[in-house]
Amino acid sequence: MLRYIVKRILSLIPVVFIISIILFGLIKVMPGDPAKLMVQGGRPETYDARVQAARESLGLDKDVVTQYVRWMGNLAHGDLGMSSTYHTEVKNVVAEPLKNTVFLNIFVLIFSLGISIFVGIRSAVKKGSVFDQFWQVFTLIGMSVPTFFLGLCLIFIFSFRLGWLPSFGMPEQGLSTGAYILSWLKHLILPVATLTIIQLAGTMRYVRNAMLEVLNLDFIRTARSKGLSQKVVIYSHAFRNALIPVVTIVITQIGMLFSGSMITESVFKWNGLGYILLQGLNARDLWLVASMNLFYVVIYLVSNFIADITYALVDPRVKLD
Amino acid sequence: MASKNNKQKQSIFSAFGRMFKRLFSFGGRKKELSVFEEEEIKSPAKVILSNFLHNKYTIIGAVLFIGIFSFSYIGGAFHKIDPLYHEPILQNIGPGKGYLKYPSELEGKNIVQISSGITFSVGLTDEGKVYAWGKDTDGVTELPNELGNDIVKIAAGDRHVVALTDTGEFIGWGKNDFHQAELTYDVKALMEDDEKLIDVSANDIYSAVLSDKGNLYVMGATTANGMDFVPEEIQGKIVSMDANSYNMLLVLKDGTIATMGATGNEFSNVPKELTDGSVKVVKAKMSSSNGIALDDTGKVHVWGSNENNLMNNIPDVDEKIIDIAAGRSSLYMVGESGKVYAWGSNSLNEINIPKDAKNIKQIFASYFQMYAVDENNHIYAWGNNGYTLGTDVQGRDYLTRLMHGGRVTLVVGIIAVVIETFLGLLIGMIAGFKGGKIDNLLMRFAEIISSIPFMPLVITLSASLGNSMSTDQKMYLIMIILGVIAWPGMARLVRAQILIEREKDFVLAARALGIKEKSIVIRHILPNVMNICIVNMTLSYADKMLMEAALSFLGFGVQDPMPSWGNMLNGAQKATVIENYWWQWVTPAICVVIAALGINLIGDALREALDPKENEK
Repeated sequence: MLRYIVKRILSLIPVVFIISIILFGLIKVMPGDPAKLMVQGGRPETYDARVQAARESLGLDKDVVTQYVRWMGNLAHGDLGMSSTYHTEVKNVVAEPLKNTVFLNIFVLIFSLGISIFVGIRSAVKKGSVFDQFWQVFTLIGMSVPTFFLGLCLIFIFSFRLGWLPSFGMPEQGLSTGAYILSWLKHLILPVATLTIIQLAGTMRYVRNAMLEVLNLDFIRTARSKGLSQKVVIYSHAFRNALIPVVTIVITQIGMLFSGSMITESVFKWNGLGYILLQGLNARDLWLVASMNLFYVVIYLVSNFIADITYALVDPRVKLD
Repeated sequence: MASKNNKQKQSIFSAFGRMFKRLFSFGGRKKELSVFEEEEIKSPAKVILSNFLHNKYTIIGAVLFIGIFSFSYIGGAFHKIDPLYHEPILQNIGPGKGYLKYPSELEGKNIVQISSGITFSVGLTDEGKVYAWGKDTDGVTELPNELGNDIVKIAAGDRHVVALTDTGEFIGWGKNDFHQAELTYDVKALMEDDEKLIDVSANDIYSAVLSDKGNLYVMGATTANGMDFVPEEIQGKIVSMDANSYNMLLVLKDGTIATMGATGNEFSNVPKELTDGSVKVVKAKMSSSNGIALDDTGKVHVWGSNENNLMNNIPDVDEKIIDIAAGRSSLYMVGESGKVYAWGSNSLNEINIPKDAKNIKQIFASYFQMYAVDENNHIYAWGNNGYTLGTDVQGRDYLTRLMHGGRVTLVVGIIAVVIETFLGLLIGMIAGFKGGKIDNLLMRFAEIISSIPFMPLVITLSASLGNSMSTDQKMYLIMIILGVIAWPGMARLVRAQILIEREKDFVLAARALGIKEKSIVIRHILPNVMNICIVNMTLSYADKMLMEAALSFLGFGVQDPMPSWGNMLNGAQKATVIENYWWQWVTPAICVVIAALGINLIGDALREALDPKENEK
């Protein structure tokens, strides 16, 4: 086991390295000069000097290889570079959005998992019932609806027509702590609902299929023939085994905590990582985009790695080597 | 169910038949029946096909997809699109038709005037009664109560109407954001006490009134277009007027023409004979950039820009002209014989004069609705009859864009899936069959590609590669990006399936029989891999369409003016669009949902049909 972990971690390093080169190359071919965008406006006579200064502050005056090496070197001790749009370090720019995105997705994870496990098991056990068919249709439609359309519909209904909830953005500054949190939660409701409904469609189907798979196995028949009650058969025999594949999606979803809500954030103008990344892309904010993409990659790789290990932990049949 | 019963009955009958045969044929059975004759056996392909076709999801899915497909392709063939067309004045008009459906009471009455706004028209009969029809914007078709039977002049602006009573009283209704629908205090202050208003005119952002003393007064937004000041040398000499957003065309007492408003455009360059008094103008009208004048000899003079070929396509006429009119970008004249001549833009059917229109005596045109009245006071209407699904922010018909947008979205998805499947199949097969180092390398590569989160990567790629591309190139780029990035999933699936299949007993059996490895791969393993491939392709197609929609929604996908369902939704990032112009985001999104749902249903049914074990669950 330990051997496997060490091997996996070592194999991750070249992967991250290659991806960082790909990302860096991609971002370098992006047209537009971030230094020029950074110093827009101001007095024309000092323009050239200011562009030069901006270029130095962004580290763009060096050649490409040096830029890359410096970026990677700085990353290694936690320096993500300068953001050209926010005129400050990327670290400071992403701190608040990171928090917002993680909170948003944690809520989504809790709701979507809770509902999908409950509904998935029920519809697998009562296969073909009205309950099952309703959720089957729900899943199909949920898989076919674009996330942003659902978001727009919710905004239209709940904030424009009924006026119950705020439509876009974040709570305004200058509120007392209690009021701020309340307003923050209110702003959170619609994005969470949107993402939950969309994710529900995928996870529910997964849980249902996993459960159906298990219910067909021999040990369930054995359990039933022993005369165990339905409850015991389902929750202690079947569900435990159905959980194994479910664990995998939970962990992959944790990986998606950071990057999965990009479109939703942009619909609701929720100040999260995805929204910041989109703004950064529009403004050609070099280091912001590069660092964030790399951050996503690392998160994804790590969560995949954890998923593999958990898989082995929950299912004794799986052997890692 | 019915067909199933029939089949059973048939087989029962035939079984009876066979039984009787056996009973009464004394010679006994002549030949041994094979297993295939004894029991009906269908080939796996037939089972799959019948499972697939008898699934109700297949039928619903196929209906949805074929519906949306023919909507885009067949509908799009009937509704041609001009990608560069835009008409800002028609922006954000809600769904609705019947702009030309004038009330039947108007038929047979003596029409004095018909004037149209962008979505509605008002008519005035010689009884002094006003009628309004078309789609209501800003309350223009709700006639105010003070409107009696004493109206002598009416004029419609884009979203407002002004009228004059026989005593010279001014009535205005509709949009009034620049005070264009009321007689402002400024104007009242300028007017002399005994001055009586005799004519009105209206346009996008202003209205004008003319008094019996030949004085012109303008209300509304006048500063930007230089309409706030009537030149000294023409004030007091004006007998009639016409207006567009930037200029006014005035006929003076001596039969010459004067213009007012913005200068330096082609319109303000009036031909000399019209200004020096050599011809006597009796009527003058203007479109958005052209003027047309009728002189007392029945000759027509046209000037202005050549947009929409308004200068090149002037018809040759060898008869006297009795009436002229000007739409927003089209011009009209009526000859003595009652024939109507029209030229200019035809994007809203402006010059598609009804074939049965004969003996015309009057013609009225403004904006995009045209009306001609014949000797028996029968009205012929043509032009813009409205929009089934409204217009977008550029004034383009939403239904047409929806059809052509569907073509783009559907094709982008298909090509992306084909690229994905090709790469996935190729790399998956190489990895699966070769194994060893190559397998390891390819799978590592797939891992690298798929470890970058999809949406951020696609957006970054689209932003960095597609910046200096034309709209066509950008569309191809999106297809390629979506396809190229998605292959790892497909490759893994193919590889895993190959690894599973090649260990199966039938492959071993084939090998034991001495069948060539190549043949085993092609005839025994690949068909089983293809099954998974087809299902995955279908489901991935739906996914790709949603991706394209999301990308274009964020502004990183297909670019305007090329329509796609995604970029038609792009406007929905603004709160005003979500709140007020629901058709602009609901209709394309519903199209995406229908298409994706149809494909998902078909894909699901396919999966069930291809995997008989699935049915047992």
